[in-house]
Amino acid sequence: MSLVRWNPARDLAAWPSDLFGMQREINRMFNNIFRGSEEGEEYALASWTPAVDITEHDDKYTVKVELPGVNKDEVKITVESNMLTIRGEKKQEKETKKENYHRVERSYGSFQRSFTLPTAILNDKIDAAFKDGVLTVQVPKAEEAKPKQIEVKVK
Amino acid sequence: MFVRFDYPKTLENLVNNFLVTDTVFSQSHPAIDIIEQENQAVVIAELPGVKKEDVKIEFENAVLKISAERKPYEVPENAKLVLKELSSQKFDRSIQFEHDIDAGNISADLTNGILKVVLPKSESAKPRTIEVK
Repeated sequence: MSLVRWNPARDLAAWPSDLFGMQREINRMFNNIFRGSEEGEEYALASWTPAVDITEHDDKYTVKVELPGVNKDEVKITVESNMLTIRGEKKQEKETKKENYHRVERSYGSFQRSFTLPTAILNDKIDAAFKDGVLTVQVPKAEEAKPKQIEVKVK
Repeated sequence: MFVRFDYPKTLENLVNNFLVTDTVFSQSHPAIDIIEQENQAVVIAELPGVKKEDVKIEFENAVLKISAERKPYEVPENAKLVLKELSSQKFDRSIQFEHDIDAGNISADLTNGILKVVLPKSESAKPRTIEVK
């Protein structure tokens, strides 16, 4: 569980999204039970979890993370051995004092996702770009992890 | 209440989401915030990966309708998706307003996957102080 500042408007106006959130949480718990914890995901500090796509290419992994409304400067990508961690924070911008929230479905606060990639990666060649609220991280595989074609000469 | 919600639709989505577990992360409607300010209402919708030209906003009979489409990105033939939580799909959301909205001055902006629609209240709906004669 995370510690979240109580927001009465949120409680009142966001019941359907809370149900979605709860459902997501339950599904995630089940996924974790079945997958085991080798993914090394830490939820303790995160208040929401962005959706992620990972594509494996011959020479790299492409990780796409949905981060609408997250500032580029608020995202931190770290790599430790084979574990890629993307964490950050989505801040709720307040414009005027005199406002009334009728519905709050968007998730705010800190987020974190970690993935242990199955092969060795080139830590220093990781590249990330933000576009239309989607973060795309390119993680190149280390040379020894790339598939090799070995020609066997038939005598 | 300022806004009347699309409850039947929400319930329908809830049921669908429970039945189809694959769509857990891919809400068929975008997450929205609705904020009422003194002179306007602001609707903020999360549309990550959606391009400006794929968003359609309509306002008719006090109903704001946001439709958007996220085009799938290309996965090369020799690559494989190892984790899929994002979905390429259509977003659809209707919000009914009870206050009078100045429909001619509705504006919208899409930045960093966030759609912000500003709906100014019409003169009659703005708060005012009435002087006692």
